[in-house]
Amino acid sequence: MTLQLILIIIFGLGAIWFGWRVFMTSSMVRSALSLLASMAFLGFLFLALEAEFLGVLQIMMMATEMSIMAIFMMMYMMDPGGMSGMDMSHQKKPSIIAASVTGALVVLVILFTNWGSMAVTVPAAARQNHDLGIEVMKRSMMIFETAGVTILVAMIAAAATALVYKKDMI
Amino acid sequence: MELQITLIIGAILFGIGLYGALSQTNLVMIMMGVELMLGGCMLNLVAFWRYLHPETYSIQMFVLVVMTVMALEAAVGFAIATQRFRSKGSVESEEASDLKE
Amino acid sequence: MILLLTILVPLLAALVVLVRPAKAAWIGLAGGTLALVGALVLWLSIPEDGFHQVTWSGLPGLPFVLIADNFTMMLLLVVTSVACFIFIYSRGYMAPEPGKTAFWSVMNLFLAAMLLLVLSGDWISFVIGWEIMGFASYRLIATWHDQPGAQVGANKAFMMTRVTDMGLYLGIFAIILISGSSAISAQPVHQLYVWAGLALLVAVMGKSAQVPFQSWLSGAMAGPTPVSSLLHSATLVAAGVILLLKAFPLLPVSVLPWIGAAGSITIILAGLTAVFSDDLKQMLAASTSSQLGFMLLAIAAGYPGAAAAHLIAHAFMKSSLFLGAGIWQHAYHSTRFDDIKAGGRKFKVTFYGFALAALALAGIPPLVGYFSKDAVIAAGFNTDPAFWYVAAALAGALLTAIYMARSARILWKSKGNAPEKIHLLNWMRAGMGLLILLVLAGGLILQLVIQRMDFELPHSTAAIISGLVVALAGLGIGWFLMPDHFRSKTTTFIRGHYSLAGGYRALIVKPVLQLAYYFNRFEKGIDYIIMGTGSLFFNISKTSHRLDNFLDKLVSLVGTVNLGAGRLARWLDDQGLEKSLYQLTVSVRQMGQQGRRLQSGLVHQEMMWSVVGFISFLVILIISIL
Repeated sequence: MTLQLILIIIFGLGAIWFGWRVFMTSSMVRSALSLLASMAFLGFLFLALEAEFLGVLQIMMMATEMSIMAIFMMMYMMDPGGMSGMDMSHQKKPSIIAASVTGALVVLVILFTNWGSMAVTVPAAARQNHDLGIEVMKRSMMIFETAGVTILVAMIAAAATALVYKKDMI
Repeated sequence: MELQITLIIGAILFGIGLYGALSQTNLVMIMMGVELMLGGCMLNLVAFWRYLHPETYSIQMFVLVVMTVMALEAAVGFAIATQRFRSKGSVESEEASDLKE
Repeated sequence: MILLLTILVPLLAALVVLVRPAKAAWIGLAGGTLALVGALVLWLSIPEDGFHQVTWSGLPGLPFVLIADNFTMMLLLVVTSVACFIFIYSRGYMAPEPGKTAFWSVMNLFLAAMLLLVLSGDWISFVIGWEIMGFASYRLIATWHDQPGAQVGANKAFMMTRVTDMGLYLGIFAIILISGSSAISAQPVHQLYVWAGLALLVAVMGKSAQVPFQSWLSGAMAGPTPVSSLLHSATLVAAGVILLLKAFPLLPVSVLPWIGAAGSITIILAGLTAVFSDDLKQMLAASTSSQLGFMLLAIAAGYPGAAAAHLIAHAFMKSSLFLGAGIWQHAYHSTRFDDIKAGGRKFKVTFYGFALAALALAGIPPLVGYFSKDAVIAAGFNTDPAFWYVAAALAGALLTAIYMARSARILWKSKGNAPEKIHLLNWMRAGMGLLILLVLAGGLILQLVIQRMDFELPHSTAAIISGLVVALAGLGIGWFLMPDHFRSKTTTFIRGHYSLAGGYRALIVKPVLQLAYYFNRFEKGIDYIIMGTGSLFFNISKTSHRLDNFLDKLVSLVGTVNLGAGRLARWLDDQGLEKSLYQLTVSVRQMGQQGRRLQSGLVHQEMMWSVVGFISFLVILIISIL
């Protein structure tokens, strides 16, 4: 048992538990915050897996995103406080079945695949960042640019979608 | 060994996220499920990078893209929810049967 | 021409009476009177030795002939005069009685038939007249047909004469066969066979009421008295004698003793019956049989003239006696001596007439009966075996006188029943009186008449004397010695026409009825067999018809089964193929419907479906890799 494994397991369990909590509470704020916690733990997992940049990125992005989500949840939820005790779920059984079947399948695949040999050494964090930057700028420039354009389009689309349309406007 | 455990954790997250996406009525909750699913994917990717190809940074690139998609999808989704809320008064998916044939 | 008219006028009168029954008596009288006139005219128009003859075709080779020569003319005159006077009497007699229409009609019919018989020149028309007279007699006896005596009498008369008529037919067949033609000729070529002659004799015995066939005459007395007077004393019963007169040239000599025997027996036996009778009309009936026996006797003796004489005289005498009886019958509603005794005192005119006729019948000169009786007795004296004939004739004369005197004395008694008033008595007296005139006057002209008829009358002094003696003796015995009633068994037996072994009823009627009964049973048996056969066949046909029906049903059943199979096939087809095709389409549509449900429009369900699809894809992927 290496330290890494223990950390992985702890952070993983944390993420799973908080992910579970998202759908188990009736309070919307709490579920948003649970998701935040889950994402955070996911970030910490990244850090434990020595992908420092991604881990930090994850934590920073998710924190912001989940806060916004909490606000939106409060806006649009029927019962944000969750005090009324309504069950806001449907087709529970089929979804449980689907989820478990999918999970089981994937686990099976994981367990019965021959992954080959494991890599032992990982470059240092500085080195990773440098190489990642080079990667972005050189080989994956197209991808990045596309991603950037896509972000822009999405922003515009989101803004346009959320506008108020009056009758005489188009 | 670590790889499999990490992958299993990712699988479990994916399953939970799937459950949430399927069983929740509210659009926002569904989106939360999707977030979880994408999170599981990302974990898978990172595990693959760390334990199989630590020198290949296109995998990290992939992770960045997925992260971006997560954000964008949330944004657009919320925009739609806003618009829906304006016209219909709620964002419950059970009432959203406008496309029914 | 007059010949035909003389016959046709009464016939016409008979028919007219049926049409106009209200004037029945006058029409009937007219018929009789005109017939008499016609006869007189005819008689006057015929020359001394000539004759009228009318012929027209009858059967092939056997033409109908009507001949009016001397013989038939005289008979014609006698018949028509007697008939006319009796018709006059009947006007009075039948006035209060029912059945006038039938009476007058059939009397005229009878007269026409009698004239036909008298005037017939061939045997066929003779037989026709004979038969019609028989029918007329039957009908007239039963004039008052609601009385049982009349029915019985009519049946008996008709049956008896019908049976004996067989003899007539046999005889005439023989005549026609022998002579080749049916003409009645006075000079025949051949003589008849003996059996044919005997056959004719049987017919005569039946028609003229000779023993053993005499009982029908007493039954015939149930008819009205004019009927008894005309038919059963003067004409019908005389037809037998006329037959013998017409056939006399044909008869072989060996038949004559038979005729004589029949006549003699009848004279005596019928005469005895008349002596012991208790009813006036019955007595007169028996007397008629007896007198007819006299006529047969005369013929047997070989003197048809004497028979003709007695025929004519008897017609006048007996008819007037009957008319007298009719008057007393109306007065006392009976003809029994017990009822009509002293009737003579009450109806003196009638009695005088009756007495005259009685004396004539007894044979007292100068009445016509004396001459005729004398002729018969003389005929007996003049034949070869004279004794029997004479004995019978004299015995008969004696008996005649006895019974006539007895009846006269009974009528002349002082105390009797009270008579009823008679209507139209004068008519009856007139009729009777005219006949009495003939009785009185006939004696003068009888000889002339007979000679005119080309017959000869025998004479014999012994006959005259013996006849007178016997007549007077008989009258005396009858008036003084004969009792009013005869009560012993013998006299009853004699009075009842010597009914042996139960008589007519037992000897003839019962066996015939029994035979008829057996025949009936036999026929019923045959009928049963035939019906049985018929119904057997009918049943066979019924059974085969049922069988046929059954087969028919069977065949149609086969057809029905086939039809059913066809329908089943069609049903299967419909249900099976069509249904399956339909089901196919339905299932496709249902699948579509089901598919539609996928498109619920609900986001979460569509998401679920995506997940399911993804999972299945994943599985396939895994399996393909592994």
